Amino acid sequence: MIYIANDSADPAYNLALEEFAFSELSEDVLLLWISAPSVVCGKFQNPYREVDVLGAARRGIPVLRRESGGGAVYHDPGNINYSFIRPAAPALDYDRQLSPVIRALNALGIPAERRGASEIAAFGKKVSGSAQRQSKGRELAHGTLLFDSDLEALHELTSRPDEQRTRSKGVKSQPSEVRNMRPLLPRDMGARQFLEALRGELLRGGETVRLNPEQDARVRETAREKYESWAWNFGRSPEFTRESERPPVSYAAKNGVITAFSLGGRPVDAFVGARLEVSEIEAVCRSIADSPADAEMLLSAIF
Amino acid sequence: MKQQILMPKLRPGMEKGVLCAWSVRPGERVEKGDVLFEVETDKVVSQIEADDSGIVSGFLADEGDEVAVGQPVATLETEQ
Repeated sequence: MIYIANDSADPAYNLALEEFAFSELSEDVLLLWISAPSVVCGKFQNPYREVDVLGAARRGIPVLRRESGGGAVYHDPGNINYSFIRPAAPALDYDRQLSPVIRALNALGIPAERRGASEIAAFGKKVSGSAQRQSKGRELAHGTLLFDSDLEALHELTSRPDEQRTRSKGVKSQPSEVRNMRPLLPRDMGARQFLEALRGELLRGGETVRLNPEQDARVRETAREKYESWAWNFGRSPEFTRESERPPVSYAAKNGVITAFSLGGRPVDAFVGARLEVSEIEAVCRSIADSPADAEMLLSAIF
Repeated sequence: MKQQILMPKLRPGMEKGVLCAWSVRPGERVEKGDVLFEVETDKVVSQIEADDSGIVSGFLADEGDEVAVGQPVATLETEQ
């Protein structure tokens, strides 16, 4: 197994690096990475149902889509991600992924244990979620490790209380009670130090490498063309409808673009064809509302 | 010859999977090993490949449908 050293905090770069190691390399690869604040949805999720897209935009937090399954996760400098990339197991299996991670956490003094099919918990609360991707005989098995994350932001951006207003296909997130692991450490350390300690436990003598400039350029290209693109992150959302009572808004969208829109039962053509992207929708709201306050209410009803 | 394309059993105990996306269109010709569709089960996205070459038709599942293991999702018309 090789470990690709990577200090990038750019979530698009980090997802593109995973993809590069998955599609372009043949070795078994371990990655440990930390991204700046961002929300990352499962491949077949509808971010408009699972994520507070407006809240994220207001905080300047990007929303991305990954290639593995599962629900929306919040990343920030207090969350460490691990990725194992290797030949696919003959049958889907989380043991091979979770056992070494749990052993590593235990070795660092954290009483982590497996919970359910794919979670790791400590003292009854989730500290790690995981997901996988399998394609062409290769497997990506990865997960989050909540170390010192902003749990309030995590909760605000990824648990939607009004989710029943949206009717959509796609994979639903399964929110659970979470905790950070840092307060459980016998000896305090920062997230980067913890990452390095994990590397020691998980790599077990494997080689540490860095990408050469050509490989790095390819990762950057994938980051730019795929993981920073609206088409991938939002444009692949399933068809859905959404309703709100005050103001009385009802709309339908396909591929992240509004296909029908009504306000108080009357169609509003100005929204039809608009991308569900905060600045674009905000401009339409302002153009039809009587006051900035009305425009803001309309905007909140749409997202 | 017509053969059914089934929802595969990807792990022991798997009862159903969500057919999240078709990678081919009805009437399209595929080669053995081409990706036909993607399944999500237990937070795992798996790409399901064609066992044989032929024309895919008779789609029985829409994207986002939950399908029981062993149920047909389409037909593959092979040359032999």
